[in-house]
Amino acid sequence: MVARPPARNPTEKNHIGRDVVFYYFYPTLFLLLHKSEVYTNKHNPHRMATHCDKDILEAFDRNPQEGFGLLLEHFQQPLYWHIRRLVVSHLDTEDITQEVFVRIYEGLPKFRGQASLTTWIYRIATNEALRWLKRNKRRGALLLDSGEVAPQQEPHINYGDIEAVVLQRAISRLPRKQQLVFNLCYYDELDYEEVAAIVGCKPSAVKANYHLAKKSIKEFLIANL
Amino acid sequence: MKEFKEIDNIGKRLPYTTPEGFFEGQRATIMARVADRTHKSHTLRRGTVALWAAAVAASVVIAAVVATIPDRTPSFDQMLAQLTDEQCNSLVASYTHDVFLADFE
Repeated sequence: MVARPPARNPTEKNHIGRDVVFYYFYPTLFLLLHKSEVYTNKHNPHRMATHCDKDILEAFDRNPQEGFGLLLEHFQQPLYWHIRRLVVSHLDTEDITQEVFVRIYEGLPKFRGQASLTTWIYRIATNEALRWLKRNKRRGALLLDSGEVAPQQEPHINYGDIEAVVLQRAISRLPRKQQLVFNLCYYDELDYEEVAAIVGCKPSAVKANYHLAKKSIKEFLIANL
Repeated sequence: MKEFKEIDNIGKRLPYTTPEGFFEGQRATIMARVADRTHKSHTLRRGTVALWAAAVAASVVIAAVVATIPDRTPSFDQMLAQLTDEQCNSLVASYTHDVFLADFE
């Protein structure tokens, strides 16, 4: 529906004030909100990271240690949790995260900006996690099945939170691509385009995978909760 | 946020936890690893530069030494002068009967 300016009453003399509000105040307010971080980051905390891509790269050019410190500050936790959701074990995630950041540090001088920094960083983290998962098949899924592995073996999983454990179990049973797409869309709140660039497929395929993943998770939750 | 009403009660809650102060500790570890890599790569680069410099210096020294060594290889005339008459005759005889050399005459 197209917004219309308020109808003018011919008898009303002071309609200029309302026109000013409609034609100047609203668009200005919209532009201000659109530009402000409050609006852009309201739904997606990662927008802030994207917003800072330029700052990080500039800081890295000036002083690599300082720029990398800034990058670490922005991406450490999102990347840790992204890897953790795939790998499950805390200790393994810790090792992989460290390796990912060393790779990022080494690759950053060669980063040409073909993709956004966020996409590039997530791709490195995803590839590293997938490489680990290839070597350690089903280990994460086994850790989630408390019946198969004693909880003491992974003290950093709260097995008491049954709903959250079952949800993670449902996600871990998805085909790898669906699992990745679901995590990046749902938890990391990345756009379909960004996820497509990370996973290496078309945005339409990401959308389809996301919906398939949701369907499978829903069925698993109904059967197991 | 992409909607998923079926898990509204779980939301983004994860059953995973980390040890207390983990992220601060990890940040320090990563920065130390990166600093170590930087130091190593600087040392390696410095070592490579030093190695190249040493190689260039050695080449210059070798070239200078080679240039100063007098050429002691005798010329063809000197060699001929050292031959006896008998050796000269046999040499001429062999050249005369050489099919290839004969073609050039």
